[in-house]
Amino acid sequence: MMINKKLTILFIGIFSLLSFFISSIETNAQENSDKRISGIITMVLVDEMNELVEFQITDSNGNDYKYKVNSSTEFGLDESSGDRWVSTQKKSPKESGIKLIEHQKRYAPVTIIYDGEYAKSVVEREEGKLENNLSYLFSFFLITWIIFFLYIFYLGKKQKVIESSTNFVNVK
Amino acid sequence: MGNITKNKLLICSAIFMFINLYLIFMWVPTEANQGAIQRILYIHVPVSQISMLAIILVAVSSVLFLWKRNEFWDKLAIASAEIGLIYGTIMLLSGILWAKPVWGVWWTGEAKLTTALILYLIYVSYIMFRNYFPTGSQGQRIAAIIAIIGALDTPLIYFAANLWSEAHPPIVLGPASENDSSFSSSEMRMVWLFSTITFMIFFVYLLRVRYKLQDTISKYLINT
Repeated sequence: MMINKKLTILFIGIFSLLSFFISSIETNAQENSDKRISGIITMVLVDEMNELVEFQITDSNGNDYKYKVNSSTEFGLDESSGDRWVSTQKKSPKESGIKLIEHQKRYAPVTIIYDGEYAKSVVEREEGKLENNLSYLFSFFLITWIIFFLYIFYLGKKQKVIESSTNFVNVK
Repeated sequence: MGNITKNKLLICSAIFMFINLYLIFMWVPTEANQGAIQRILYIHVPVSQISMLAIILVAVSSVLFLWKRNEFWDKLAIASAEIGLIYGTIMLLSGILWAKPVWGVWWTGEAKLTTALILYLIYVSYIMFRNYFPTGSQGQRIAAIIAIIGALDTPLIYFAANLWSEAHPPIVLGPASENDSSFSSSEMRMVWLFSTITFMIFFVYLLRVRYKLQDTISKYLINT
């Protein structure tokens, strides 16, 4: 009985904490969505070393946005073969330019997360929808803890029933 | 003595779970490609690993029981199988809920997923067999064989992504892991490690509770 009370407190605590964390991520996602833009690449600028310097994207309303890249800019882009290319500007300064030119040729939409004039990440359009994934994340954590919670209660209840049956048989 | 240890394990699990939640949601960086949904990894991978370890424990315990004829091993096998099933359920559900936003489908028939589903069905068949078939040496032998088949499935699950290169990411841990892993930062690796320890402590706690229940059932059956 004591264990069940402790478990109830534990799980209420976990649910509360989970709800708080999820809501804070959602807030961050909404804040991030202000610094997020999607569109197709319309210009790629490389330097004399063929390293990516700057690119331009055009959104669905026809507005152009230029972004510079720095060593921390992250890339997650699908190749035409279907393989995923993941890297940073620091690791692959030349390849990043090549990938963006490929995307430009294919009119493949991308999502940019930016900070001022610098792009923080360049990813495929479909996978840039951070806020849409939160319902899956929340469902998963909720289901996990409900499973654990129900299982421990089931064990506790069964233990009590069998113990009382054993006592009954012994008394008899 | 047993209750004190059990309570200590529960308190330890609770503390670790709270820290784990904080690390997963507040501390570890968001993965660039998949966004927030990638945080499922910190539960999906540990529960999958423990689910695979649990079936090996079931198989080893079953063999030791047949060899030594000590009831301890039989009770341990049953307890481990049931908790392995719970972890296996979470492994499959987490995979399904991760696949939908990332791959666009709930499930695919690829090797890693299929071998994981086979492990889950082995758990179900083991528990059904133990519950609904008569006890005795023949029943225990057949149950041990089911557990051994399950244990043989675990290396297949582990190597599946490398053997049959499909949508599931390649192995990120252990001897067959590739350098270009899913853990793009040391924080991610650290949170995975912490989460594995957390779920392992919770597994041990559940194992103790389930073992005690099995012990009580055995005593009840002897009395009646």
